[in-house]
Amino acid sequence: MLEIFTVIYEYFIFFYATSLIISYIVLAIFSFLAINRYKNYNTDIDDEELLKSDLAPGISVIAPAYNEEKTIIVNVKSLLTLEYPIFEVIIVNDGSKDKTLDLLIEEFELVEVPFAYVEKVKTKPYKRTFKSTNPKYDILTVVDKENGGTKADAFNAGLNASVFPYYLNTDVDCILARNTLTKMIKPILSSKERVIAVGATLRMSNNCDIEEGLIKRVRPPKALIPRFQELEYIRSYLLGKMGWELINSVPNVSGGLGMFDKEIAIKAGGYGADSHAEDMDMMTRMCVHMMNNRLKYRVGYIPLSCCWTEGPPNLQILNRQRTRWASGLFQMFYDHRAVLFNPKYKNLGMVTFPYVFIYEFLAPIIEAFGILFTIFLFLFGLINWTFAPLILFYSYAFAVMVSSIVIIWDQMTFKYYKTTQEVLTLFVTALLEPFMYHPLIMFFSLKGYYSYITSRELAWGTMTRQGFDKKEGDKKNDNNKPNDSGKKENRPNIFQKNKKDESGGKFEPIKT
Amino acid sequence: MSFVEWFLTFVYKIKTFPLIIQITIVLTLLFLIVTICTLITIYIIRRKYNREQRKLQENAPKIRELFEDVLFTDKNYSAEEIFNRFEEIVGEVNEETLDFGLDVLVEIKNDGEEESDKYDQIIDALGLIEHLEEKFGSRSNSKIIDAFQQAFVLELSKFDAQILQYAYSRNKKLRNEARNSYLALSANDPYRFFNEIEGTLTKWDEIELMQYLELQNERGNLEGLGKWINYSKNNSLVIFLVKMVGHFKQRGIDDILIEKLEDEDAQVRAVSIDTIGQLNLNQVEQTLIERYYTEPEICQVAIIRTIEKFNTGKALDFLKQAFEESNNTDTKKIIAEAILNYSYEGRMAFQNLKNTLNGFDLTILQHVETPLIKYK
Repeated sequence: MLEIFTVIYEYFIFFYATSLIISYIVLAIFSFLAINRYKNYNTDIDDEELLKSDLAPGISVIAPAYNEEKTIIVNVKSLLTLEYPIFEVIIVNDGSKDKTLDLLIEEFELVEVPFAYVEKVKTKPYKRTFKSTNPKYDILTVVDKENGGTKADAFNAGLNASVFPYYLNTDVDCILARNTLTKMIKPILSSKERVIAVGATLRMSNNCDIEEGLIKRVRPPKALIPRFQELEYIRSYLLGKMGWELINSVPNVSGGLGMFDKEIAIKAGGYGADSHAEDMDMMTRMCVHMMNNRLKYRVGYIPLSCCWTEGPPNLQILNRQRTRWASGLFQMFYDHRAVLFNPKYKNLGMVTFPYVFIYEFLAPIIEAFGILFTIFLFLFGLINWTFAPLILFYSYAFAVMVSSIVIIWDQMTFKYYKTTQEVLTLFVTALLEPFMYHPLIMFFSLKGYYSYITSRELAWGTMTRQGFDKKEGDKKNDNNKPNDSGKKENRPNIFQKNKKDESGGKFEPIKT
Repeated sequence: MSFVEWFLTFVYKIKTFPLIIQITIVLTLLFLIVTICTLITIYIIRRKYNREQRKLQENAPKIRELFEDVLFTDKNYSAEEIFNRFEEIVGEVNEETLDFGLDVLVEIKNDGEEESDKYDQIIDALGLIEHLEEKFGSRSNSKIIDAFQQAFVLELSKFDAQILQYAYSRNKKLRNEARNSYLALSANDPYRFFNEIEGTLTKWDEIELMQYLELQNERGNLEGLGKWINYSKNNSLVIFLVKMVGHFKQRGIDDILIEKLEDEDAQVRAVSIDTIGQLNLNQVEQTLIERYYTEPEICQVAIIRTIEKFNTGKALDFLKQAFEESNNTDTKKIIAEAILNYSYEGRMAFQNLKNTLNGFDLTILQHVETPLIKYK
């Protein structure tokens, strides 16, 4: 019996690993083609043309803030320095309990104004809107609302207050490149099909030089965890999403930086207010809306890094972040289970969703089972010591190869690092990642799934900011305990959800 | 044991392994080789980049200084002097250094801080036309696109032959770029491809075409756009051209615009209404008012904006009625703004509405009249 199981398991792992390797190779080729296509037909002169044009469409930059007193001022200033002919910046204060709102009012000379706020997408109660009396900040709008427990609810409020046909969603802890809007609107403007969303690459701001909310010098993070995350981000964006872009199957536009078509976002019902993976949830809703209405669409991606965000400085914060993401992924697949393997949803239902489900959602479970099974084989003396190290080295060599290819792709697009040594630092990180970082991510993902199933409390805004003012921030926060002030949310567990479904709450693809 | 012997023993040993292990060994070696190759490539890319950056950092400010001296001072440089000074800075004048120079010149032109009519002096002295011609002949699409844009920024119009070879290219993007650019870069027949625009214009096409038309306008070569509006069956082109008629305030096609009010496409009607407003053709005010309630929202908004622009003083009752009857908050804001900007009578009517309305309608009025709200 054990032998049969072992043989079946070995075959399963063989096909799983082989298909994963093939998919990575295919994605690497796709991303190479997509990056080259982008580089061939986009230049910096395009930015100049757009900046001078009366035909540039307006963009609303929406950033929700929850207990962000440490970085809010620098980050809002950064958003205000974006270069684009016509845009507004909307900060949504999601019922912060710290001084976030007070600091905004003081720094930007805000006063409450009568604002015709229309709830096109339902949110927790809206309270008021502030505008600046200083003409320097006339494009800034601050919306104050009751805490909704999720970033999604805050984004929805920003969506309601926005006036322009496109919006950029970002986080207030993100520093954006000044040309973010010109770069990200370009795929929308130059496509004959309707582009409903555009994403770009995010990187870590830890150890970058930032002055007045602007990135002056990019460096890979010195601390190991953010450096691992930097490599992980570059791999995910440049290899994964750029590859998917070529066949119009981008699964997700990051919540940290994404440009969206407002009309479609609203028609798709806005962000799922209880979602903790609001970005992928929103993307799925929009794609489902387009397909339900038989409308052609594209999701674009650009290979440029336009956004720098603070990476988790320690394990505790990484744990919180990844647990939340994993839980959100579980929730997303649960909410949109009707899309999975559904030919009605074309690439989304038959390619993207299954890929993410099999190779991202199931991967931690399969890996954890593999580790347990290896321990079992070890205890019973069943490991083939002649070949086991070879197989392990095979996987390791592949992981390192993929990361090194990604580093080349990154160097092909734009050379963000000044020195060769900084680039090689990333390569060293790639050598360490499979042993040091990957097992942690697997563990936190499983924890997130467990949290979702057992309805453990989750929080948004629990990422402790170190701030960008190095002199003050770094010393103060290096030993910071994680912030426990995040708004907790009690959600029904998966079994309660099933009961709700039976009583009529069954998922139905959104139709408008 | 020599390496060869060891290797042969190793290969022999591998042959005794199961097939799957043999494949694994081969793939592992392949992964290692690819990783080493990528490392070497990274090193080469970086070395080249660092060298270029060093050169750029050393030379770019000096080149900029030289060009600004030629362009913005009274000094008279001969072509030879410019060439020699440039050569002194860059060491050797070749494709790479000319590209540096071209980039700097384009940057200065794009900054547009000062006007100068001496760009041609630098272009001729360094042979930038020939350099651009070579770029047009390149096999790299990015270089060709670069050449299109640099030629446009420098307002050069001697590339008919080079562009024409791409105007019928099988590469759609290149073909499109060539046809758009022809409008700016052709000396003979810039409007040649207006009749051959394929499919729907993208918003980027519109942005490019508009700036090329602006260039033609500056050169005094802007043709009347009415003939294409009248005959083109491409609605996206008609929409764009009607917008441009408003932008350039072209007169003489009033009848065509009024005729477009009957077009089947709501977008064509909406953009025609907007242009009628920009051209102040207020004789159609009553027609627009009569059409208001039968039109879709996009045209209704255009009608309100146009009536606001006409500002004849005769449509206040209509605006008030439209405000009362509209159920769309965004449209209501636009109507309220139109009433507020509708001369003295409009402001009075706006105050009266404020006194009589309450609830969300009142908030809309307060929203519209709050100057701190820049984008209503």
